[in-house]
Amino acid sequence: MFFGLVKMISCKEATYLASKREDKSLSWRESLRLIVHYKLCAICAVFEKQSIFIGKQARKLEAHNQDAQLPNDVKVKVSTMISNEK
Amino acid sequence: MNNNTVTMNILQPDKWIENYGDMLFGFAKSRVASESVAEDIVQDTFLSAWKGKDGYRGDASEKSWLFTIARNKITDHYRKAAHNLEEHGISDYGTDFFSETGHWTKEALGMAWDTSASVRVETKEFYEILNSCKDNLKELQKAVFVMKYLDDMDSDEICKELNITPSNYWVLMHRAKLQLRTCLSKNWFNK
Repeated sequence: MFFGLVKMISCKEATYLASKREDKSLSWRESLRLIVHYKLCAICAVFEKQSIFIGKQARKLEAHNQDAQLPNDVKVKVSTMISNEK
Repeated sequence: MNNNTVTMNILQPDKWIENYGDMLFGFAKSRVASESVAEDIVQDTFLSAWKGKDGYRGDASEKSWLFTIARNKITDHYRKAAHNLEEHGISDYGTDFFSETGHWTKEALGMAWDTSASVRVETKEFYEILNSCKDNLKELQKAVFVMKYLDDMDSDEICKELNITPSNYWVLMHRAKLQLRTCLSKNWFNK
């Protein structure tokens, strides 16, 4: 009865809603569709969990690559270019 | 008015490479797909900075001024790549991981991870692997991923910055997540 009122969505739509939910809130209709979909589809439910996990861990990565070293030849090239422009 | 106490920021171009070369390279490298592109961006940044040095008014520090220039170069680079989105097949809405009926394709099916306490996740090794998985993402996938999670921008801002539609954004982000999931499965969880 209750499920009958909810439009069934595909995995494609479900993952779209899941990724939308990370950013913005869903309407109650959308939330309900997602809940019903997850009851029937473990694959999508696992994917959202993994997706949230990846995002959460990625936030802890440095936005800079700290160990990066600009290769010497580029350093020399830039120095030369700048001094030639003087 | 007593302005004597205000220290003006000044530029020291002779020390740019020494002081900021590696830093800017690290900044660019974590955002673009290849080291050679990152090198070009750093090179262009210094050149533009040198040419535009007379326009520097000293209201931002030398460092943040240079980073702003680098960021603009990176955005230009992204936009050029985003311009060819259709050629790269990004416009066809997820056809590589969903079938026509909207079900997962066999290739895109993942597996569950053991994230229980017995598998320690938040270790240095884990972040090294996550970082290298992230670095292996393709250009625009990496762009949306880094902007969202490392720069903490929301999807509207990202679409505006890259000049892409929300559905382009979703496809790129979805591909990034799928690829990261596969990479983490292979190199960490199911090693």
